[in-house]
Amino acid sequence: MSEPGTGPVIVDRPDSDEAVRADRPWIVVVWNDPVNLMSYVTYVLQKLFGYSLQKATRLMLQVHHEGRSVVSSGPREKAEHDCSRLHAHGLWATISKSD
Amino acid sequence: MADLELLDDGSLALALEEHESTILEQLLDEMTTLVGGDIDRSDPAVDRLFPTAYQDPDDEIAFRELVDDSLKRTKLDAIEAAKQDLRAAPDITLPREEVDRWLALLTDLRLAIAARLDIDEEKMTTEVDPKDSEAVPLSVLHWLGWVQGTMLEKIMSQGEVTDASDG
Repeated sequence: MSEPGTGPVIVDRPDSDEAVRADRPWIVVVWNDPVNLMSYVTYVLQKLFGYSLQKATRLMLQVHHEGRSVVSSGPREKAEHDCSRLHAHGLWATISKSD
Repeated sequence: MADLELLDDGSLALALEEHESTILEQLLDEMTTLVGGDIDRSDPAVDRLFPTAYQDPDDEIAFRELVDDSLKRTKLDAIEAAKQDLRAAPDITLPREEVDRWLALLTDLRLAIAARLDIDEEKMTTEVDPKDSEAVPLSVLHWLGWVQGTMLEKIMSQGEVTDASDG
């Protein structure tokens, strides 16, 4: 696998997942697959969600090491939109209700 | 071996050897057949290109009705665009937005080949044995990965990734 490239490091906004969870019940999960390059997964997360290289890399590594990562959350329509775009980019993504 | 170079205006110069563009053309034809007809998820390659989003079967059916046609259209458009690009072979210039389309297409090609070979992590990281009956598709899989990885290296060296297609 090719390693993620380097680039400008943009400071992450603090995660607000906890705060919005109550009224945003749907989550999009990306699952590990043996084929997609690590650099490609990072690139797609940056491109689709506007994440910094730092955040996209963190999520990619979570997928790689833990098998899955929640990459977006929100109302059902948003989750479906995000999931379909991930599918269009070849990532293995699913939609579920957050715990 | 293919050569990739980032140009000053952000586009990418892709130089292919004859046998490389021939392989790509063949793969694109196979991909057209694979995604162009009815979506048959009993084929592992199709199943991986149109993945299941919901556990609940009713939710899944509704989601598929919503997205399958446009997903299929996106894939077919990318194949057609790449076929056009390949007409300029051996020296192809890809504008930035076309690079994005190629990256997704190369992913689809790799996923389809890997699904057919039932690839796992171990097989993916093991060096190809020339005597293996699957040596040819495995080599193509790794070559496509090399092209894709090099493309990504070049465009990510430009800095921040932004979405060139839609919001």
